[in-house]
Amino acid sequence: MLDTATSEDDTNLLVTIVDTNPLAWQQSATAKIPLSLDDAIRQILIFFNAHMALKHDNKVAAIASHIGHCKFLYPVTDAETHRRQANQYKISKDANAYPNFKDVNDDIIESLRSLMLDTDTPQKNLNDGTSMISGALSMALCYINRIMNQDDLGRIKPRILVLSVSPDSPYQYISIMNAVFSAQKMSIPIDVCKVYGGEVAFLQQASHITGGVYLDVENPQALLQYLLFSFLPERYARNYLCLPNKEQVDFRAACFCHKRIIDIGYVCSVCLSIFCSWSPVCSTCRTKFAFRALPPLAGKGRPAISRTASPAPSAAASPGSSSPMSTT
Amino acid sequence: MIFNIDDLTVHFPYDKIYPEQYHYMCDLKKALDAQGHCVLEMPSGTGKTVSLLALIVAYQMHHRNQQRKLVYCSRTVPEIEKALAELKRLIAYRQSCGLEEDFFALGLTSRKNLCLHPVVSKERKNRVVDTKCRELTASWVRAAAGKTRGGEATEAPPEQTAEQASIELCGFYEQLEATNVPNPIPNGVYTLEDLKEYGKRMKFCPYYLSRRAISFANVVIYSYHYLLDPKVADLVSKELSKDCIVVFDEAHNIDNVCIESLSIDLTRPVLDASARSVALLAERIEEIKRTDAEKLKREYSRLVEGLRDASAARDEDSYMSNPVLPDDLLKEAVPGNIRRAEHFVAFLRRFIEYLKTRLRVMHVVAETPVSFLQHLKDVTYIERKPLRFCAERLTSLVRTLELSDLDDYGSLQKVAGFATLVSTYDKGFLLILEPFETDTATVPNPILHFTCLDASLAIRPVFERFSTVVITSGTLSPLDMYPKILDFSAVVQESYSMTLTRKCFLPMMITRGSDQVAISSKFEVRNDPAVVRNFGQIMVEFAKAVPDGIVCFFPSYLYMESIVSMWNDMGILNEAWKHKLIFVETPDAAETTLALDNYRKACDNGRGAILLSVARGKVSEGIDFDHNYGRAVIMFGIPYQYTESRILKARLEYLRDNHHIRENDFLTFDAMRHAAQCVGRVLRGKTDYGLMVFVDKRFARADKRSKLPKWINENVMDASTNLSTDMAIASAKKFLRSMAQPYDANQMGISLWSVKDIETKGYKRSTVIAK
Amino acid sequence: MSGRKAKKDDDEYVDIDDATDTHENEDAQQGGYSWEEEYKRSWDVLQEDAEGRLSSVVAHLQQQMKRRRLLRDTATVQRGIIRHLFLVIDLSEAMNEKDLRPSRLELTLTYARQFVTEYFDQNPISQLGIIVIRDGVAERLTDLSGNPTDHLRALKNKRNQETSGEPSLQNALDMACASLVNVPSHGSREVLVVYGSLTTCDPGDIYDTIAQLKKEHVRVSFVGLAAEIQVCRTLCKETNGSYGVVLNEAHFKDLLFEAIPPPAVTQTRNTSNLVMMGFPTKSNDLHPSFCVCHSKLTVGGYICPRCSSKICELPTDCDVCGLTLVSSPHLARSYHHLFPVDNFIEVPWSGINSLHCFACQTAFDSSPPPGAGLESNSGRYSCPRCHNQFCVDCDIFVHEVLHNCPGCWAAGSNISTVQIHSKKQPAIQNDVMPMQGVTS
Repeated sequence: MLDTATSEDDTNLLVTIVDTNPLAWQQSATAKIPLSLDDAIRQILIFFNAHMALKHDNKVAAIASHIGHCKFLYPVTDAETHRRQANQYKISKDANAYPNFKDVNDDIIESLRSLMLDTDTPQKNLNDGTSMISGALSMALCYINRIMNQDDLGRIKPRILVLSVSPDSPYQYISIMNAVFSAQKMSIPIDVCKVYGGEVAFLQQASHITGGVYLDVENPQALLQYLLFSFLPERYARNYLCLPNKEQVDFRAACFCHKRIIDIGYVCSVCLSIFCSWSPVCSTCRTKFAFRALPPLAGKGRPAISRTASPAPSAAASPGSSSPMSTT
Repeated sequence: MIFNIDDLTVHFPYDKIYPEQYHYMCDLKKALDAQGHCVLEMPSGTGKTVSLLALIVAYQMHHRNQQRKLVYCSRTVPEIEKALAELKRLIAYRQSCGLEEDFFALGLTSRKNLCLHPVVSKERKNRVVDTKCRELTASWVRAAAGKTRGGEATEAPPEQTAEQASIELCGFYEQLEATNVPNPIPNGVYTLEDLKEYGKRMKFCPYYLSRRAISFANVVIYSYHYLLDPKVADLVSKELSKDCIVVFDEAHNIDNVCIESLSIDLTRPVLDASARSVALLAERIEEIKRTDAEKLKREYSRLVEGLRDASAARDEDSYMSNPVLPDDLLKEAVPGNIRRAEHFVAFLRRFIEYLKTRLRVMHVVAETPVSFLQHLKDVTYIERKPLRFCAERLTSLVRTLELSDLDDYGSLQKVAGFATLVSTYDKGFLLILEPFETDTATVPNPILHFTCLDASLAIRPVFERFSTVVITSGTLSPLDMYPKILDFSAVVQESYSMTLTRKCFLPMMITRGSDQVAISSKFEVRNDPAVVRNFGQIMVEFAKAVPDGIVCFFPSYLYMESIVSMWNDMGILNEAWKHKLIFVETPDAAETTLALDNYRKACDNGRGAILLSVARGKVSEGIDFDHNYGRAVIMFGIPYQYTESRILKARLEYLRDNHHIRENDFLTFDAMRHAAQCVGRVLRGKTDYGLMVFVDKRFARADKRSKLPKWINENVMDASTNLSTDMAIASAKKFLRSMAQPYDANQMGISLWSVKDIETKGYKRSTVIAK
Repeated sequence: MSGRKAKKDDDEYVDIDDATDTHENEDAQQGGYSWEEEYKRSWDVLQEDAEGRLSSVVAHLQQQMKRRRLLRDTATVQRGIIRHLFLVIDLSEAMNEKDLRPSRLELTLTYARQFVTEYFDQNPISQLGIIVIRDGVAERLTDLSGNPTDHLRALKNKRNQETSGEPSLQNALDMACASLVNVPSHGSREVLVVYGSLTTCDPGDIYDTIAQLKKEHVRVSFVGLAAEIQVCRTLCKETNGSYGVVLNEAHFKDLLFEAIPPPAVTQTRNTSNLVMMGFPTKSNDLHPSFCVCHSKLTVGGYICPRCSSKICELPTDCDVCGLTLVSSPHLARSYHHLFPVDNFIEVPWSGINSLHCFACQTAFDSSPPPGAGLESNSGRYSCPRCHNQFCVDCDIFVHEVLHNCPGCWAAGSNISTVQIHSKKQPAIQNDVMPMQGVTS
């Protein structure tokens, strides 16, 4: 599809969500093909500079999705900068460095340092050891929303890049999905770069729904390369490039009762949880259902229902009742 | 809620009160304390009646010792009902507050509304009901049936003869007669319905019951006429004691009521009819002579003293003097030449003949009673004195002859009344003979108007007799006008504004059409097609912009008819029909009621409707167009009276000479109060909202605006006094939009007061005490 | 409070408007041009503040305006996620009025299209039908269906856009009612009427229809374009729908879109039920095949799990076997109705705890403007749960678009959030897992 909203002379805002989950990075550092956090950061910073170098007014923002909380790495608030200057946070002068790049790098590094140093991360969250992707996404969207409110010309074309290392955390499903849908509404592509770890279905869906790029990094060592090749191109350029994409995203659902993947299910009309067979009460929201055949939807004849619904009370318990239709 | 005004504890049956209600009470109390009259103008739908009742009842209860009875006069039966209902609620509330006080209040209305008799009550017409009732209850009829006052049983006792039994009587009345306790009805507040209920239960005739009970009531509620119309007044309002509190509600055109009550029109049919009934009388007399001449003798002798002992009763002032018969002539007895029945009949015949000749005159005559009498004397040698007694004499004769079906003597009574009036008053009245209905008509249809020019005549006795008379209404501006024309002096006269949290009505004055042609109902231009078209356009545009009901008022039927027909030719009606149904008020009451019902229906089911009616018509007076029944009232033209009418001219002259009111002032005042009355229909209560559209360029003038009631006037913005149609429509749309928005009824402190508010704000207010 | 505010505006509006007119009494141009009204509406509500500066006031007003639509109750009521709604559009002559620009009709149709898209975006598993009224008869453009595209097509169709004659409310309602009676009881039954004219020409007594609607639990809501009509008011009251009259274009949209979030289900009748749905697999085979929805040759699409017919897009009802076809994200779209974000609280100057918006990093002004009291609003809005403070823009964004509080999900308080969720919907969070589709 051709993204007509964009043009060559857009300014691009790249909001990057860096998954700084120390546990995950620890594993990745000790993996077959190791990649430690600071290597990654180094490469990411280069990628940022490249992005900013592409056009004079390209912007970048970085958010760390840490365990249990997330935090803006860049830009830092004025209050924060003051604090740092107060703490004799010295800006090492470097004649060879383009100041803009340098500022960004320094800020990000400093923020990361303080992030890692602060140890009062709520321990309770370490047990599931997941990073707050949803929170980070939300913040990113708010940030983008603000930026886009600010420019009247509508020149700024934002996009989100998620560098993920940790697995999905189920309880974030709703919030992530909310974020994804609002991103879709604002037509912000969410690119996902899976640096380490198995597939993350949430993020897959995210990138698929928002028309972003999903990339699974086989060789983490070459992270920069992946970044530059598939995530650097701005949205306008993407119209003409052929980017890696996950064509087979699976949206099939699994039932709550047996975690079996089904393709015909019963949805509770109150809480929308899915079951593979008709049961008299919703196990999720405890709603009692009326014991009767479902009336035909929108008046259309619906033989299947009467067949399944009438034996339902008796057959509710046995999962077998739904197998004939789940095997299509 | 319960609160204090000065030393008086007022129980108010609602837990919130409008500020204006509070002020109203305060001023009312002033008047009561001062034992003086007052004129109070309060916007319609702000609970005038309840605050009035609440205060006065509180006052009565506070000063138990001086039994000041409240006589509450209202205009129509529904209004009487409403007032009674309010009173009932109030008393219930007082009792719930633990005051036990025996309180007795009831309403009084015509037989027609109260009658329970299976046959009689079926009758539609007032007059017929009265006659039939009389046929059943008249003393001689009952005498014939062998009943006497206080006779015991309703069903005929066995010893009655057949023919006695054959005479049917009204069971209810008999039952009432049978019980000879003074007040056969327990205390309490009785609405007309309750009265009938009680009547049904006890087999009492509610009408006579109420008539009898009046003297015991703390509050009596009935229609103006019972006080103003001399013919009825001395029947009903005799026993009212001097310190009664008399209230005229909706009193904005009380002056007209007064005048009507004293004016008589004689036409040829009337005279013929009366001639016939005179003949009847003659025959009756003859046969009576044959049957028992005694009766006539007895009457004769009675007449000799007759009036004297009556006059004895009249001497103490506690007794309403009948304006028709000033005291002086009551001292003396009926003059000799009409004591004899046959003489009197002859006398009447002569008089009627004379009147007939007068009616034959082919040119307009206007003369004072004096000259009329003079001429009468010259021609027929009829003295002034006997004339005065016509009315009395006739009634006594009728009583003697035991005539019960009075309706065919109606015209004769009229003539008699005329005779009495014309010979009684020589000031403030005028006789006008109009041979033709209109100036263009060729077929003569003479009318002899005997018109009262002075409203104060009829009401003077009321003012003189009762210490406190309250005149109140939604539209009384300018206030000083009423004391002038009714000549009395008001202790308090005050107009209250409407405190609102949102501007819930929008007065607009459209002075020109979209084509900038000045529009007016002025006589010269009123039929100019451009103007008429603009009128039409205004109606159509509003029909498009305003939901549900619209009421249009015209100055007169004639004008309305001409306009509507012109609209029809112009195709304006068809245009309007697209958006709303159109109903028209006609002089015929039944038709109008039907139209109204359908109008309401159309307003309810969303079809929308326009009601074309007339400023002085039935609709403009009694009927409310609240909420969706009237989202807009359009006043086409200024409802001036028909200035060409000689009666009006005469009255204006009189006002100028005797009350120093300039013609124009009075005309404008009269027109504007009717206009205000019409537009006032749209707004009933504070949750209601509506447009008030005045369509005439003359409305823009200050002298017109200044005569609008205060509460309307302070909402007229200068910018909306000189609008063209399109501008008006624009702001109307805007207004309706904003009014349709959800309306949070949180008016506390602003336009709703709790007890606390009263204590805080209550006292900082200023009222104008009339000098 | 916002409501009262609005009303106040209107009042002042008139006043000022007229004040100007009195100045130059040649007010012929006051002929109610809507752009003028718009123009006035912006400045008439200004009063200078203590120092006679306007800026602060303006800012405050803007915030008020922005927040107006936010303040809806976030009590977690059961909502009828599965809805059946008829959109009734008045196509009588009254719709040609120009008082809403470009014209009532134009605007209505534009908004109607937006409404349809938004409606299906928010209620993916709900159904919609469109009825138009013209010449006193009601005409069903589209029957109840879960597929936005054909509604949009119907709306775009030129023939469906010409107006004529008077409308008949009763006919439209009867038609809607007739097709709503046989929808399953677990779904809500709603009618939304956009009504331009001020009259209705009905064949019968409309109150019978109202009674009927009431009996069938059909909720009727109105958006009036001109003024309040009594019968509509009663109709809405009877069927506990909402009745609004538009003030201007923006307000029109607000009113119309109020119907988009699913309504709370009345607890009176237990109608919740299990609805059978299909979760089709995406087929991308190389050779094109016919789809059942448009019967065109297409490559790729979704396969109905029951009858294996190919459908072009989701969500929809299978045209062959009528099964409701959705994908798990579609279900997920409706979740934010179940777990609304709590309204943020205005923070007075006394209560500030941060110098920048937690979400978007905008800097707040650190001290109250001179004249403003410590209790006056500091332009910060804090989440009652995580107590982070946000700017008004984020506040709106969070509540209207994002539907989850960045603070709660970012600041480590997520466990508590989950617990709160679980309070609302017991055991939902530990079961959501399978929803995510294939688990690796």
